[in-house]
Amino acid sequence: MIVDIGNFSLILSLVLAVYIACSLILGQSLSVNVLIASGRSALYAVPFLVAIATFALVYAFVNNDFSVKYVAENSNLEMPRVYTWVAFYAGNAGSLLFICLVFSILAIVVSNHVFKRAPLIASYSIGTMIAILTFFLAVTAFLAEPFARLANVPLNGEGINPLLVHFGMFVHPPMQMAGLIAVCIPFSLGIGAMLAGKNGIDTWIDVGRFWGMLSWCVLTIGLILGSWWAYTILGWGGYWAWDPVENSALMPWLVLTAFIHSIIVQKRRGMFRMWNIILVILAFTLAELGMFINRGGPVPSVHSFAQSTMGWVFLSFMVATMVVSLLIFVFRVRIFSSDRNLESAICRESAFLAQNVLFVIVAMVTLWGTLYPVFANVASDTDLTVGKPFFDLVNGPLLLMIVMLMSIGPVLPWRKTTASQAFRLLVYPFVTSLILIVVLIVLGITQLPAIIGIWTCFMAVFTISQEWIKGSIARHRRGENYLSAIIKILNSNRTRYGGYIVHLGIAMLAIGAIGSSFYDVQKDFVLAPGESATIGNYEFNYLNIKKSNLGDRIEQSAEFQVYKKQNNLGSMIATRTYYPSHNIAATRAAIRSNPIEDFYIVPSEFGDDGKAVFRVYVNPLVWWMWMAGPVMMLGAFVAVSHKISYQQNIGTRKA
Amino acid sequence: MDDQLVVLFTAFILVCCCLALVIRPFLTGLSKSNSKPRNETDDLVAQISSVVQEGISNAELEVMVGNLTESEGQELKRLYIEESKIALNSLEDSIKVEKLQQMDLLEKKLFPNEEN
Repeated sequence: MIVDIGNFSLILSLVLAVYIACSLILGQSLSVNVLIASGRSALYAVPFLVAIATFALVYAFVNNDFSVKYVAENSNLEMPRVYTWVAFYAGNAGSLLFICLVFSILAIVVSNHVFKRAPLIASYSIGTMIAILTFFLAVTAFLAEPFARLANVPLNGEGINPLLVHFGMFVHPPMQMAGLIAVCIPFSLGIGAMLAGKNGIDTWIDVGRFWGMLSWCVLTIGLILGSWWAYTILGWGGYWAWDPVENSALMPWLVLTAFIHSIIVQKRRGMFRMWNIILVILAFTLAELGMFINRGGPVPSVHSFAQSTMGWVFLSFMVATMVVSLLIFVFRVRIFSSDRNLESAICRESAFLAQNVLFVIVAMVTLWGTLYPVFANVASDTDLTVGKPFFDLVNGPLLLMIVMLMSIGPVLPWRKTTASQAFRLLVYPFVTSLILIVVLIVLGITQLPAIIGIWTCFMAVFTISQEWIKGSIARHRRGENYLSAIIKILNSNRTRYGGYIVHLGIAMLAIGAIGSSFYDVQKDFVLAPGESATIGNYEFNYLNIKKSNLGDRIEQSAEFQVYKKQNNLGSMIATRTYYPSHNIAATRAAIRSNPIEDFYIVPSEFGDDGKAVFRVYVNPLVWWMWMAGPVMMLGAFVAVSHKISYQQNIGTRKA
Repeated sequence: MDDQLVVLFTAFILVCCCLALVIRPFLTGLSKSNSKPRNETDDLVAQISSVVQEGISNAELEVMVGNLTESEGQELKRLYIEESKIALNSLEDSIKVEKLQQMDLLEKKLFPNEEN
């Protein structure tokens, strides 16, 4: 009964979404305000209806209703109940329903915000958003069919994919899906601005940046959590493999990062108007491509949990949205062209432009590497894989250049910079970072790419510090204490200083990536219980193995006593779990992490006599990567809280 | 059979709720929606004045920390004024004139030595 109500709600939400999209776009173009008001009013029902459908599916999971095909495919009686939520979006239909839920809630929040802050583009923008939501609702209701019934009801289900039974799965997939779909918001705002014509040229800047930042935040959390999940459960000692699905989330992130920078130039200098529109179109197209790859695309991936046969639907939708957006763009090119040009090669605008171009090049290289196996297969019927070495080789230096620009760009003045100005602004960070590099070389860091990489990161950190220190000293001279000066500086321009905090996080991320890429140590050991082995400064003793049959899985846990330079670090437990129903083994690495390095043991194979094969890694500086996530989120929150404070101020004033 | 009735009844309620939301603006007419832009306008004006004020203090800060020269700081203030005027252009004519006058006064206050 509940399932039927859920199915009906889903279809009703689709009908309503079609009405809302039409009423908003037609209402605005025909200037019929009552039609817009009706669309806005009806908008509130959509998330409510999708929530009913979601509740119905979760209810079916909780009650083990295996008559529902999706429940039977993604759950079983042995599955821990706590993973019901994960099972809900573990497959294609559930994940699409989840996307619809998030999207419809976002539509209301965005609608309220945009109708208030940028009323001239609001109807077109929200209309575009709802048109995209309509597509997702239609695919969910009629192609994915989350509520489809089975003719013969099984006694037990097939169970959740074992790789998804991990704490990170409560946050990573929702964030990743929400992030990818949130890319639609800046896209819709850009399309809305173009449809609004002259009224939309600069109207969308503030809302576009605000929602661009929020989408970027969600995508960033998704990407970092995904890396953390790969690091802890996939058991290969790494966190980023340039896998097609990983790439499909990275590409829109790269373009979105370019966008949230270049929109500042439009705000401050009235430049890059068309470029910003192109960026949001590109970001959304890449996000759609990601969905295509993830849902039946032609490129195999270890992450394709929602594989289906509907890849072509997403591909067609991607092509359609791209063609329509580019057509609108062509008609509006003249209106959106900027009347200002770059005044100097060395200025903040130039740095933004160079950084933008680099971001787009990295995205395009990643796209090429991701799709090349498909082209090769079509052209010469050969199966090729483009792996990590290609991406590291090509993207590595480009990303390094971006970090370099990150350390220079923010301190350059707008319009033009003289050589003496640039020297004055950069001399201290340059010299300080160089001194630190010399210290590191003395300590044994000798690989040239690593030295250049760490130097650029230090440059970025010292440039940001310099900005903060100069401001604090100036305020201190006027009688403020340093702590209050630092806080007041941050508060006075949250967008800018929030951005600096994000840059600090990026530098931490880069330091982690450089350390773990150039100085990691890996070794395989075959050990019997009681035997010891040594790797780097670590010695570990394989104490025992515990084997337990837990119904749907067989779990084997190996316990170790670990020492570093004779100091006892305590015990560590690495687990390998075999799921016979899926014929999949999931590993849980034993990791001891600190800011210097990670000691990482992953079991590869267990013999009947207790002997086992372990792969052991010493990964330097990985800790900094995971710490970078919260730092970036803090910075992004500070940057977007600028707008939130406006709303609060207005509220207070009214009261 | 009972289950089917419950489903049908729930579906009926849901459809009615949705129709009510869709039709409501047509029934209440534009009387409500006519008054709404005024509130939104007030919000917009409040936001613009907030932008202008914050913008000026940011500009002063930037001058203080030495990233901008005095003239660049002045240009930043002007940018905020220009931006505010662009935003004000989207308002109803009657309010627009009043607010633009206020903005002109503010501009004269900020740039007392300039003619235009």
